[in-house]
Amino acid sequence: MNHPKSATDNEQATHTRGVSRRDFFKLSGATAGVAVAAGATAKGGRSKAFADAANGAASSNGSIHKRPWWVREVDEPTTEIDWGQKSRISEQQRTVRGPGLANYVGEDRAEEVGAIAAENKKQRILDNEPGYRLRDWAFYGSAGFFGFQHAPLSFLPLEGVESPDDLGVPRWEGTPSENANMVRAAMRHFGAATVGFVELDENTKKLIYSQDPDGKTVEFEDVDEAYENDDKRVIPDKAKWVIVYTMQMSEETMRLAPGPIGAGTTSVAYARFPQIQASTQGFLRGLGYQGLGESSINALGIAPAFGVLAGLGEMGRHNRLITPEYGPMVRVQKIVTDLPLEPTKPIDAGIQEFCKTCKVCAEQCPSDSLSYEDEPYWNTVGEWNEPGHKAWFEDAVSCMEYWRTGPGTNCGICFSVCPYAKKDETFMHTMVKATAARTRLFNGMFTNMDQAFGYGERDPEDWWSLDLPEYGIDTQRSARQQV
Amino acid sequence: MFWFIIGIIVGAGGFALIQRTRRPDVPTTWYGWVLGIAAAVLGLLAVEAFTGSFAELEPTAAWMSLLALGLPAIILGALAWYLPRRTAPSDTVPGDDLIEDRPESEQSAL
Repeated sequence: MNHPKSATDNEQATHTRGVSRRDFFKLSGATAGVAVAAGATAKGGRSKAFADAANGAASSNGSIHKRPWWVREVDEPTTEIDWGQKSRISEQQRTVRGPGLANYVGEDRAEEVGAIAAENKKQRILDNEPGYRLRDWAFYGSAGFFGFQHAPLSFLPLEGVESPDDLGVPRWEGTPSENANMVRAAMRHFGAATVGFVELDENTKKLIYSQDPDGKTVEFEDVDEAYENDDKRVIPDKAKWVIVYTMQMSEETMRLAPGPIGAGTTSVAYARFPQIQASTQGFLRGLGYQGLGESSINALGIAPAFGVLAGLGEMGRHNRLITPEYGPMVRVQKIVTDLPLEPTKPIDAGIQEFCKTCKVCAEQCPSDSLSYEDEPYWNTVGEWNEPGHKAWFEDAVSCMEYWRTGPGTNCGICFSVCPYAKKDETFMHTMVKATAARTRLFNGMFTNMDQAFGYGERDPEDWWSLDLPEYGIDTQRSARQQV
Repeated sequence: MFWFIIGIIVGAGGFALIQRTRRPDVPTTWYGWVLGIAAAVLGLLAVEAFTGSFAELEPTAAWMSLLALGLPAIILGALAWYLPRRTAPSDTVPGDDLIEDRPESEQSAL
């Protein structure tokens, strides 16, 4: 991986960040300039005037999911794609997740890092190390055990919901736009944060895995009903729409990354995921349509890619999705369906442009797995990356090895340090995001201010005394941001 | 409720300010109003960012916000008060405005 800076440089860069007088006065000037506009919209009072004024603002008429007024819909995503270079990839063979690490470092090394993780875990518990005490591990293990081990994840809908055939009535018929809003409304109630739609065509089908994590192939056939056998899962050609949705993670809990508590919020999201998927599949079945889900976590298709095409966010420097509403604090899932749905357009919220300047995630990455290049690039780092688009491709192997030899859990530092990973109790964050969406002029200053304002690490012992809301997430913030 | 109370305070303060500036002896200029309004907006934003950051469990950010927004608010507020007086004719500056009301003997002494 071509990193222009060394680890020493990283450290220096991190430590030398601060507020210069120049930045301070720029902030004051910028604040005075945009304060009136941002302040007026922050509390929702005059939102429509601003929404109307923003050319191309992503607030579709009649949609229950209005985006923040500063998010623009665009015809092409901010991630440049060369569909000619793309082809369907095997999740099982190509990614580094789970047992995939052995494909790149060998069975012996994979076992070795697994043994290191187990030994470190035990020793840390015995040492009563803050953040790695027995209660922290118990939280982490229990947060994830339902999603990872006992979840009713299924490619085909689960039995139980009455279909129109069962009732002897015709199936639901609505326009694609009506259907889209209806699905959003239902999924919000099931626990999804944002919901978008992608139409499957010859290009976007390339984002469906050729092989799921369990080794079964995923194929398209001209059949009426989806089916599954020991070797393959079959998507009917008529199932042309992908429902892409996000689930919130807790910013506050992720601030404890890396470690069992920080990783716990990822696990909690994955525990909610099967319920949302099963409910949505059941809802579609109840309408008379098919909902084809992920047979396991990270199955069916490439989540960030679908997220970008559905307009749920933009690709960040950490090579994951960053959303306007929740920053990187989401997991992204997808369901294929034959219910006609109006596709949602990609967005430009200035996020990828911000990442070109920011680099905080790369500086803070303990395994030096993220890129420092100013611009995203076409060349992949390894086979685990999927070529055909410009991105800041990451070194997933060094990342995964750190997971095992470092915290012994998934890491998440790149999520937690992201300037977009902020709560929205103060308008300041909205103002910064809105300004970054319109101009790159202040991006460097915003990064420096983010560091200087002390959004730093948390004491893991304090987390156990926090009075956090359900799931550690704020389900009101989406409504607040629909201004 | 917090912003309701802030609104009452700001409304009452604004009303009192307008009443005061309607007096002929109080100098007002357009840039004084601009600076004063900017100071008030920045002050409100400082309060909002301060309380919001505490709600986000970010005390350092709260105090930094108060500094970054509150300090310019105070400076602009001081300029809004000072500059019109500096450029106004002396007979409209408060403090000098009661000379004519004083006894004739005191006026001649002045």
